[in-house]
Amino acid sequence: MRAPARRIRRRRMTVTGLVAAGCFLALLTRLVHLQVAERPAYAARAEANRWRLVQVDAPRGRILDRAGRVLADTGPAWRVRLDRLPVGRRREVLRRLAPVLGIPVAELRARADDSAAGPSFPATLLDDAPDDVVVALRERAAEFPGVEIDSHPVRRYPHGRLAAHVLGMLGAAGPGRAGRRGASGVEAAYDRLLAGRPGETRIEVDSAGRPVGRRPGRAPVAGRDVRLTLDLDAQAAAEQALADGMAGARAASPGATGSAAPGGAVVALDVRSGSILALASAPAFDPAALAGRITNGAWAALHDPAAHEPLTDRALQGLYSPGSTFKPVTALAGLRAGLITPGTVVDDRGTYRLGTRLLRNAEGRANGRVNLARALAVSSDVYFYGLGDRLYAGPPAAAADGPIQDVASRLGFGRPTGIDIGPEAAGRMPGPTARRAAHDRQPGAVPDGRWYPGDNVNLAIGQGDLLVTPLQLARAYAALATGTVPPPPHVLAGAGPVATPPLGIDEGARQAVLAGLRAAVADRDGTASAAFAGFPLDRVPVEGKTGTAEVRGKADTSLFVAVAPADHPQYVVAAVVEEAGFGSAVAAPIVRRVLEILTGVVPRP
Amino acid sequence: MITAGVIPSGGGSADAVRRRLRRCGRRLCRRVTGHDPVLLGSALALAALGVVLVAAATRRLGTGFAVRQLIWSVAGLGVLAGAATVDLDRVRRAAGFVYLAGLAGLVLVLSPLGATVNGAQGWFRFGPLALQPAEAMKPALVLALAAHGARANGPLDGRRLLGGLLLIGLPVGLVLLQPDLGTAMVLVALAAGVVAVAGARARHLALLALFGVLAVAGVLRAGVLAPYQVERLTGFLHQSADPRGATWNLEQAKIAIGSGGLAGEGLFSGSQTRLAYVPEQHTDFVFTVVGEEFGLVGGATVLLLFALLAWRIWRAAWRATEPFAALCGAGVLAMLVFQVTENVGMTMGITPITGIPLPFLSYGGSSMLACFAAVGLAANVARHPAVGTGAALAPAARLVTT
Repeated sequence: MRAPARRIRRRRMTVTGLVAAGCFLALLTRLVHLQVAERPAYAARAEANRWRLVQVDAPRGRILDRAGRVLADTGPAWRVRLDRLPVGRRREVLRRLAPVLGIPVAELRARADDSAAGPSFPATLLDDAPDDVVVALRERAAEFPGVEIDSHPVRRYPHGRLAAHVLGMLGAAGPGRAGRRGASGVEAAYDRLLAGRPGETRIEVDSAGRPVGRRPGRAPVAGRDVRLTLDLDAQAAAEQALADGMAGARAASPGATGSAAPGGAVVALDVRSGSILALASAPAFDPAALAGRITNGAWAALHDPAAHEPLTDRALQGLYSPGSTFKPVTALAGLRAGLITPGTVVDDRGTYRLGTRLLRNAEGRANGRVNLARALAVSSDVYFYGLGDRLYAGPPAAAADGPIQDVASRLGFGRPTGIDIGPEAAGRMPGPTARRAAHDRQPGAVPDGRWYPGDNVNLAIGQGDLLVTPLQLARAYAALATGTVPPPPHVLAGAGPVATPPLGIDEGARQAVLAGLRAAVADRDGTASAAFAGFPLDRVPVEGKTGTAEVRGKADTSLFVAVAPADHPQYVVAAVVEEAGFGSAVAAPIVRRVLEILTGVVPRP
Repeated sequence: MITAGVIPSGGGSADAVRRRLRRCGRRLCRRVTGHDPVLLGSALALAALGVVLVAAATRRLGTGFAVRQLIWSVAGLGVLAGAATVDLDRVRRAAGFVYLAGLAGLVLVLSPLGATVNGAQGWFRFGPLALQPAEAMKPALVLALAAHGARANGPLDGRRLLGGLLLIGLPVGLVLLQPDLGTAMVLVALAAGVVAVAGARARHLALLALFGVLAVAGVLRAGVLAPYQVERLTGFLHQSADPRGATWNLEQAKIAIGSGGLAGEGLFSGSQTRLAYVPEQHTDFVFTVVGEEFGLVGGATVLLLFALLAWRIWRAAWRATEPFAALCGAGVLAMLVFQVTENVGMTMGITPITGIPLPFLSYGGSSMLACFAAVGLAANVARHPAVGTGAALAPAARLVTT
């Protein structure tokens, strides 16, 4: 019995041995395959496992004014960041951090949860921590596990809110990217110059994402400086004058029904080159407050209706009825059409009858017998009511749309100026064609697609559907003053000369209109004479036009545009103040103060 | 006889005492000598390597794990010495008792006395110590089945086979109740080895294999295991389907081994190991430390050591004349080969992921003691090729002839 049993046992042992050998052979084969054939792939994955690529912010380039004075700088700031922690630990750390940073726990939690930065990246809690906070955090480091403090570049604004809209805001760089990118203004338009190139550091992390080492990689390349055409002194004067003008308008008419003067804009241009010398918009925002992480509260405050949209650049995007500042356009159209000559006299008795309607001058004043220059100087509405009426009925111009629209188009109304920062509004140039198109597009909103004499009369004095931006207004006067199509306005310095083709407007007509604008400033009863009292007009002659535009349900928009020196045009300045009353009272003094700085009438600070 | 020259020819009672002392000394000598140096050497080399690997895998956590592994290894040496030198015949007689003690442990661990780790109630906690009775059941089942097969005194017939199946079924069932599928699989594998070598009919074995497949499928379906366990088990079938989920372990293990290359990254230098990317690396995934830090050279060496050990156990079982010894060897061999294949295979993605430790290398006291006991048993078998057949002095004879 035993022998066969042993034989069977040995046979089975042979099989078992073969199975075991097969097992070992399979393991060895797989091992060789993994470690020889597939090694490169797995080695790469091991590297990818342990290294995290982290961007190092590049310092943004500075923004300088035309003289090289710093408007926006880049400086180091302490950044407080929180590493990934277990949920319970994190709650505890955030609770202890809140009083030190002076930020509510809920806000801190929201910042820590911001996943835009990527999973292994520490979440930024504070972009620009004060030194005493950093000292406190460092001293009590044991209480704040996972809290990292490092230095990173942030925007600094030596002049505070000055030129905030021109400089623009910075925004998040996007998911997975470090640093900030330009969101508006120069920061956005010239982001590629300013941004530089972020560097990279490789951080070795363990399986829990904790950093255990680092290997320096590419160093960041600082952004390039950008020099602007802006004149810091003129900009400061414009902003201060605008603020004073708005405050004055508010004080002059107290009470709820009076002018609230919620906002305004000032544009100062070099008439030949299109360089922006000053570009002010009120209310403004504090760019420093928006340079880093923006709190929900700050964002909500900026968008509160009571704040009157401080982020909007009214100089580029504000849409206003130009009022009487549009009258030179109507005058040019009349002269071109041959309906008037500079010497044509109209008896202004204060009213004009259009069909069954009786139209009045502002305040119902009668200006008596006025020629073109005087009509512009005293801003006779009656003169231009009649001209608008006759331009409707008169000989058709070469342009299909109408003589006023033709001149307005040559001066740049109704389309963007092409300024290099944005966004910019196109304005609205009404006319028969536009009216018909609007009707065809939205018959409900525009039930009648026809253009009536009343529309033309309204347009003649800059009212009705016409809307312009302050920048368009300034640019139109630059064209009027030089007789050429000015180059697109721009804030970046260093642009070469641009060809300026002639405007295509008769020189005699242009001079006749300019004479009227000079009279408006220089004549004793010119609308702007009071604002320019004491201004050395003999040395620096000024051409200007006031505007007081009616806005339904609100106080009038106050406007003034001026060119100086009149004998050798160099600067054009336009000011618009919302709900502020007469152009002569509010806007004209603002323009004067800017011109005083630009022409050197008042020494620079 | 080697001893003939030193036995004194005469003497009184003092001589009798001296003679008895000499006989005792000879017996002791026989116990210590006559062992297979390759078998014991490869086992000891693996255990020593295990301490190093555990140290590498747990370096971030200090030296605690490595020191404890060293202590368990030393304790294991005691178990090895005991198992290798004890009289096999006495072992055979005590097999039933050992088996019952093992079963008692498995029952007790399911009571509130047992503790739950990783979802399985399979541990007894004694302060810092944690022992797994299921590990002790492995050598106990080898003994019980070998004794059962030896009692058959010939190939296993159907009735004997059924008795054997009962011996297998009880502990496997108890282990599955924890649930610890890995250990249950090891028990089945080693039992299969013993039953096959004991001479069960091929027909019966095929039937059992079919039953085994059905049982595994049943376990997977019946909800004995938590869903994550099932996912882990079947994960190797659809690898990298979800690298963040169920196959995360496997992916990280393969990255560790694959990136090791020919020579490895060097001890304590593997990034997967150093930065703790492989979960459970000091226990079930300890082979990834070898793969990453010692490369193909190290991995092949470890496989070679296991193969040497297996070969010497196989050789011992082959040469054994006594059925109990041969079946013990076969059981230990099956247990060892199955555990190595399953564990190393799972780290490389060719076998399912289950909680089976790699003998001698994985961190864990119970497994270490069980492995030393099993290998000690095999060493005992290697030393007793003809125990109980009147050739008890054969080792000494072998010494003379060699």
